[in-house]
Amino acid sequence: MKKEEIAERLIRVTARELKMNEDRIKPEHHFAHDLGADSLKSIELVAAFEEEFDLDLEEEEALQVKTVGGAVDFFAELIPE
Amino acid sequence: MQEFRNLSPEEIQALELGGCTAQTWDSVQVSGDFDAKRVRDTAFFGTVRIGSNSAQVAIGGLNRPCGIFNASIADCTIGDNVYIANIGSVIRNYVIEDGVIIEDASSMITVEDATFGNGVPIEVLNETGGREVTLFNEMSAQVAYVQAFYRHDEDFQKKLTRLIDEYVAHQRSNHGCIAASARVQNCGMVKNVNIGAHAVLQGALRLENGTVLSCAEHPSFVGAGVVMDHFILSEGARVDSGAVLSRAFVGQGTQVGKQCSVENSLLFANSEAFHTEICSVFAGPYTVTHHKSTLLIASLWSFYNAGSGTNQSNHMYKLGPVHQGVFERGCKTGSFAYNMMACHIPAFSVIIGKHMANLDIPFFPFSFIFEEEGKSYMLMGINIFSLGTVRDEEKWPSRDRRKAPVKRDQIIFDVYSPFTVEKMRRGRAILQDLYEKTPREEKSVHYGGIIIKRLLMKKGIRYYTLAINRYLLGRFFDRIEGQGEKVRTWADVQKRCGINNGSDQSLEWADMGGLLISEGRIRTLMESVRTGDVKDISELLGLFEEAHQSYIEDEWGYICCAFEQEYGVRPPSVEPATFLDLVEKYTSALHSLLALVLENTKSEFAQSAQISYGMDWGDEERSADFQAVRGTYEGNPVVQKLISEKERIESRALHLKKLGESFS
Repeated sequence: MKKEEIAERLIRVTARELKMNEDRIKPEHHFAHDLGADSLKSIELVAAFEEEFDLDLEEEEALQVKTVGGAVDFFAELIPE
Repeated sequence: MQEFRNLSPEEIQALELGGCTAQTWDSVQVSGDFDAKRVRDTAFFGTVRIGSNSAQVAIGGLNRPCGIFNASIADCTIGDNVYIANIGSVIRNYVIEDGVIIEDASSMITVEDATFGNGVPIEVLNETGGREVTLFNEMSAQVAYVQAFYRHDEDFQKKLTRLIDEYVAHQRSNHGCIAASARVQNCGMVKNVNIGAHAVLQGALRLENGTVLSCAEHPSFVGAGVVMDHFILSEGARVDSGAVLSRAFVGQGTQVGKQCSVENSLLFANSEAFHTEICSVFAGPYTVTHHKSTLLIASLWSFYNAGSGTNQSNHMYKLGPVHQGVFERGCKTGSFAYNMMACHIPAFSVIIGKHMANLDIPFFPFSFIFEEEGKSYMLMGINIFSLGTVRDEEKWPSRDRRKAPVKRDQIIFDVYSPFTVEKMRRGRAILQDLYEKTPREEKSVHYGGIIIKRLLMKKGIRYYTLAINRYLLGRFFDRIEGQGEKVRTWADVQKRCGINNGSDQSLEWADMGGLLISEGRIRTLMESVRTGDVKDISELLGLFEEAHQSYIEDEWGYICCAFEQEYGVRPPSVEPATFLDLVEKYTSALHSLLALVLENTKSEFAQSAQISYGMDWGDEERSADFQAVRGTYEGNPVVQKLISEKERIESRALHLKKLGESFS
């Protein structure tokens, strides 16, 4: 999957789960500090990403990703182009 | 038995010169070396016996002669070297043992047929009755539990009641006892109260129909402003600072104070209750509530910590206050957490917010139960990797205050046990079923009064699986590694994994007031009571002690059964190749859970945790202030311990692999 598509889908899922507009979410945004995803929301987000990309993640690794851009890179490595 | 003699004419004269009177001096007897000059301004009524009074006692740092000064004594036996002074009304019908000090007390009276709190019914959980627990001195959390909760078995209850009634009958007496070296100072009315050895009562306002058990190893304390009626205090209990207790049991090492009110409730070992209102509560071991505006009502708790303003409702304005709540061990409630009864909350769960639904979710331990827009949600299993749970496992045994020679409540401290692990296995099966049945377009499902988000079901399944693997495989490897000589052959390994005769193999377990006990053992125990094999209370207590002692072997019986269901083979039949697979599975679970705990711990040191630090200064000073007060993630002792755990896991995995390979 192309990185652009990953970014688009990831932002869509993030917006849906955090109940905010997609255009307010930027790659440099920190999930916790900028988007308000506390530790519980982060777990939900990981679960939503898993479903979106049909993956079973090692959550302890996924939770170390802190920004939207970092998440795009993380999934780009896991999903072959 | 001490020998007493009649007073000599010289002694009577000395007593009268000292301002003493008696209904008749013939009824006042004394020991051989009684010193009449050490009794002044005292009126004797009925039969009074007085022991030797030649010693001195230290009171307030001053030595004073033993004796009786300014008191009225009626029908009492007074031991050696007792100091009694300034009794406002009378001390009547008491046996006062050696070395007792009674000073500035208004009255101490025992009336006929007193039972000293024994036999008092305590209406726990249901305020209108139906789950009464009968108080008696040697009551343990386990005896109370079977009294309160096993109401389905009428025959068992009948036999149990008979055992307790027989015990209570033996406590019945016309005389109370103030046992050796007890101190009663500055107290108000004391009526029908037995006071144990070395107990200290200082400034209590009113005590009626109760027993203060106490011993030299762990004296009990009743302090200023305390009012208690219909009560039993166990050894090492401390009730202080304006606490008001009515129909209450206070367990060994339990503390109640700071105007806490306790009514119709049982507080077992090592509990702490301050400020709070406690009503119709069965507080198992380690129930802790420290804050004002907290109400605990009509519920079961243990290993619990109450946030301020915790509250429950048990009255729906229909049939009265009949609803009950069960909060399994290890729960924590956040500030102003509220639960509508009836409810059944799973073990080691954290409750935040107001829950207006009747939650019935016992099979989801280690959960986070929270409120969002007035609805109740649950995140299953998240507390498995909470630092709080990790700390809990260590802190409870280290906070066992009990010092009495007999520890009455049988307690198994394990966080992960057949009780919680079987619940997780059941919960996981429920989640798997729900996940399969819930269409992808559904965001959530309702289960047991709570909302479970569909996406989080898989998370719950994963967390439970990790914890189940860690527990079952961990215990399996412990068994192989941990006993006696090194295993030399595969047959040795298999032998170690065998089940001992007499151990139970139930999958279902209960948390019986802190004692984790298998269903099979409960059935056997109840049968022993039903058939009359259990002859008295001490034999019944012995059975609970036996269950405690058998825990490790019974636990192994459980593990063998659950292990087979999880991995398709019983431990004694594991082959070397499977052994190596299991080592992999175990190590992977340990690493994942440790990583999750560490990740969870980072939030304690994150920027968001630094709010309000660095007062009056900038960002740099904020971080420096935080580090100065809270330290750093890397430098934190708990984190360091967790990080070193990583190495321990690696080294154990290596060792286990070598062991498995040596037999391959």
